[in-house]
Amino acid sequence: MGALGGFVNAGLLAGLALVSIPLIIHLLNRQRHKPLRWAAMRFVQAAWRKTRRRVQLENLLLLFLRMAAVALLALAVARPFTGAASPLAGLVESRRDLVLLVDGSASMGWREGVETSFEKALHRARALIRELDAGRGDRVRLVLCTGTPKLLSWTTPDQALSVLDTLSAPADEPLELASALGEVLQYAREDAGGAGSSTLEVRLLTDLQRRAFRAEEELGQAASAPRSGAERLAARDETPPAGAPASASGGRPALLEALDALAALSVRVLVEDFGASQAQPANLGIGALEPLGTLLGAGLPCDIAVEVLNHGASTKHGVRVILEIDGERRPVELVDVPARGRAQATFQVVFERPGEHVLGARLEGDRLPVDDQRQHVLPVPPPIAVLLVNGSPGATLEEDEIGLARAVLEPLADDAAPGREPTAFEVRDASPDLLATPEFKNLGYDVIWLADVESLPAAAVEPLERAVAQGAGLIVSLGPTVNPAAWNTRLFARDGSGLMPAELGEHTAVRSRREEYYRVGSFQAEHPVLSFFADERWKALLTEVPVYEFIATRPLPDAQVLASFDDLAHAPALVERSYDRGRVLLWTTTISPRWSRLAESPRTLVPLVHELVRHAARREFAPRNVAPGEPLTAEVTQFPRSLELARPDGTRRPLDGAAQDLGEGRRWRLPAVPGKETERAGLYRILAEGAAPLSFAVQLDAREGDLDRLDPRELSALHRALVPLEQAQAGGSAAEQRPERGELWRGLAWAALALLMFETLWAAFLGRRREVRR
Amino acid sequence: MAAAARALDPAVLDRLSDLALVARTVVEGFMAGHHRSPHLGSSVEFAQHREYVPGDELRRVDWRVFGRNDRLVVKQYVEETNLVCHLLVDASESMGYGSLDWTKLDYARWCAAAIAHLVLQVRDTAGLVVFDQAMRAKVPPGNGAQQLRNILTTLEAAEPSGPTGVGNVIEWISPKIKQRGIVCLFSDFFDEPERIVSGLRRLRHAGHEPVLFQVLDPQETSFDLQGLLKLDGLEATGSLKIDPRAIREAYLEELGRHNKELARAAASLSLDWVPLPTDQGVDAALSTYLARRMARARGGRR
Repeated sequence: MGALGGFVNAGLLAGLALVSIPLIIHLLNRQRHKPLRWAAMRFVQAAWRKTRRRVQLENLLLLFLRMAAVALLALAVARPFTGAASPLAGLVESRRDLVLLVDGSASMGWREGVETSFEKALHRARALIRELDAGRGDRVRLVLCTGTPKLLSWTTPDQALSVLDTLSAPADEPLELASALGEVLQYAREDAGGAGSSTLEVRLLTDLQRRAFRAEEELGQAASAPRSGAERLAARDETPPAGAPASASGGRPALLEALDALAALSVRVLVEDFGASQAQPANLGIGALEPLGTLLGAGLPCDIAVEVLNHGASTKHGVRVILEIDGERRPVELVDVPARGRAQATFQVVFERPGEHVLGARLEGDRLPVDDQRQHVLPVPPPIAVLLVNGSPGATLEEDEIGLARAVLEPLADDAAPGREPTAFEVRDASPDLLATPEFKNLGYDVIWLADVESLPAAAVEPLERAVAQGAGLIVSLGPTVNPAAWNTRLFARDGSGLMPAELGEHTAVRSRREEYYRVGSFQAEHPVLSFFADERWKALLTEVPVYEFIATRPLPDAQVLASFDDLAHAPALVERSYDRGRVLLWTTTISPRWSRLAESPRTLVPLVHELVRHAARREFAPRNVAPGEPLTAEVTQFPRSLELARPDGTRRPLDGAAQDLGEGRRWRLPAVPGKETERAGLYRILAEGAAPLSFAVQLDAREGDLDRLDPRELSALHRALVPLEQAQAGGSAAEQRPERGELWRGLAWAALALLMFETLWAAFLGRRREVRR
Repeated sequence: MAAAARALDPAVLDRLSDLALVARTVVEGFMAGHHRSPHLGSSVEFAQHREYVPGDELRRVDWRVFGRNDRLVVKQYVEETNLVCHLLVDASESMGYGSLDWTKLDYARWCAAAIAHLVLQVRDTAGLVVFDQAMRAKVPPGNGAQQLRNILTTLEAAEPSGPTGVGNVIEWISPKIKQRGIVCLFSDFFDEPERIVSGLRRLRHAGHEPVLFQVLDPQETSFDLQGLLKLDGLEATGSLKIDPRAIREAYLEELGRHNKELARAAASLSLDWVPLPTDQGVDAALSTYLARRMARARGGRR
């Protein structure tokens, strides 16, 4: 084996045993002579003496032909191959199997000179394919390497050339090299047949972008595993998403694992460089486009940040950053971006109306235009409609159960002011009786806050449950008026079918407020409601506020305790649970000063109330900003008709599929646009007759703009299976040489056929010669 | 073989009834029989003229010819003699072969019986010798109905056994045959041609007229055997595993050479060589030969 050769299907060599079959038949035939008594033996004996030798030779020749044909066929099936050192090297068919990996990632759009790197790679691919000879049986596998490798062609060179003609620009995705090599590995294993050899010639035409070859590549890039938006977001921030493995096996990076497997099959990947001439080409790109802060609302000022990345080796001064909102251009901002660093241009914007707004940021064009612009769809929510149900009205703001909460949500307006200040909340307060009225069913509140309500009328339970099930948020704050038994009876169920996330228990109070009090002892700092207090500067605002009384609760198993008191039982302070499409938050003490001093701490009360309300109102919508290759979907409140998809290039097509009724008669889920249709970065729109278009921004991975290149020496050092073309041409590797290993099966098969034909003709000749002449 | 199968089909005799075994060569004796003696004597049947030589009886002079041509010639008359037919039947083991429903020996005995019947029917004399490598049974020459019965009985009792010795038997039997006559030899002649020819010469020299009836099975003459065979030779001649098709040509060549040699020898001795394939009807085979022989005899005397 090795230089001399071997067998692709060595196990099938067992077929050589079949060579014995003609011999066995021959020997058996010798036993099959029928006895016959014969008188004229003298003549038979004389004839036998005369013909014995000739007949024996004839029979032996037939036997040999049959055995040889079987042997050749068995050898052909075992697919012998030879190496360059074999004396049979001259007999092999020098068929070539070429696997051509063309880097189709966004970075290949870099233009240096007239052509982009991608165009240069395509030219080279055509040249390589034209060297093949289809008549000889040469094959080419053309793989376009992007996020998910795409096998474009697997047969004839002509077919591959036709496919190449259809390619004009790279994709807007990064290069997933481990996935692409996984495809090569599959081909190598098919060709090797497990024999440990391969006739594959693998070439990678790439720009040697460093990040594509990083063995310690960000987690979650396992071969062919689709990445969620959270994973991509986390990857962008270069923090691993929770639970994502480093590789398929959890140890060695996936890229190196793939290369190890290829090396084990003696497959080398010849890497041809089509990248920029500089090691760190100067390239600017937009890294991010997003609002700063979390408070969004019509009429509220909002800062839009545009992050500019400088991937080059020198600082860029006075970079012009252009922002458009809904097509309207804003004044340009200039930023200085340090070498290999980032800078942020901030635009202050006020969205006059709620709804979706399309943000578009761009830089002046450079040699890699794809990362010079970015879109972002920003849904600006309307003011959150909050219904504060006052279970314990008071004469003053402080005495009123909801007085301070309302003040936090809706600051008092100066009547003399020309207009009310914009607010993110629209608040209404009401008595518990409202819930039982027909009016409540049609109000459509985003959040309903039951503050220290003794109990709910029976007639209020069902509409309340329906409202939450349809997406409204319910906040329940307890107090002295609350009747736990009544609450448990009407709103709690052990099987989770009730609204309450926990069963109300005993009233708990300190013996003396002068001497003791409870505090929030622990809380989930990453939860949106409490993340404000995660900052050490503000943590004490939550944990040091005295709480004198609360109602103990027993949460359901699937409820989440977001905060607990520091009592011995660590009684829950804040409990959350989803209820169908909505959520319920239970605050086990008052929101007023009656049971705690929370309300006396505005810096505690304001963020707590704001985040409680915003979190209660938050609905999970399908993302409007996705990575290339991810599907698009959305829910609408109006039955969609005549759906169309408008692509970034302006083309349109009807959207396949029917909208899914979500069972409420008020919401429909649109048919998803599959990921294969969102491979281009840019703005997509789903258009429906009589409805506002839904926009989606497909955003390029900003890291694709980092064209920092690998040095060929680094490439070789990365893994022995990667061979730079220069190194191969210098004779340092045999990979550049055309593989002289070739297979012999075709010649063997022809030889077997020839033997069989000769055997047939020879047997026919003998038969005719021996036939009875009448 | 069943006795009935051994018996000659009477229909065959019917078909041969108009034929006769005619002696061609010089036969001694004179009796009231069916055969004409070449010894011209005082028979009433004119045979031919010859020139008068002093000493001839004047009563034999044909005066009419003298009156016409002034030539003195004497008349010669044909004398009838009796025919002696010696039937020699080879009953060696090789004669026991037959691919049809009868063996070569069966066929030979039918032919011999038919000849015997023809000869005895016209009050000629017939005798029988059954042999293999030596004489095994004998019916001395005689005539009459009893003689036929004796001959048939002996023929029917013959079983094929023992090795072939045609040549030796002929040589041995030649001096033992006292009366000169026709010697009908029924055999497959699977023996050395030289020995056979030597025996025939002796017979000829002794004044007999041998007629060689070679009885062969059609399979022996065509060798159109199929499939792989293990031929076990009769007469302990060994066995051989062969593909008949492979050696057929050579076999036929050998057989043909052997028969040609015998036929040539027979011709050189002015003997009749009569191939008798056993798939040919006895009557057809014999009638063809006998008719040819009768025609030849008539043409020789005119």
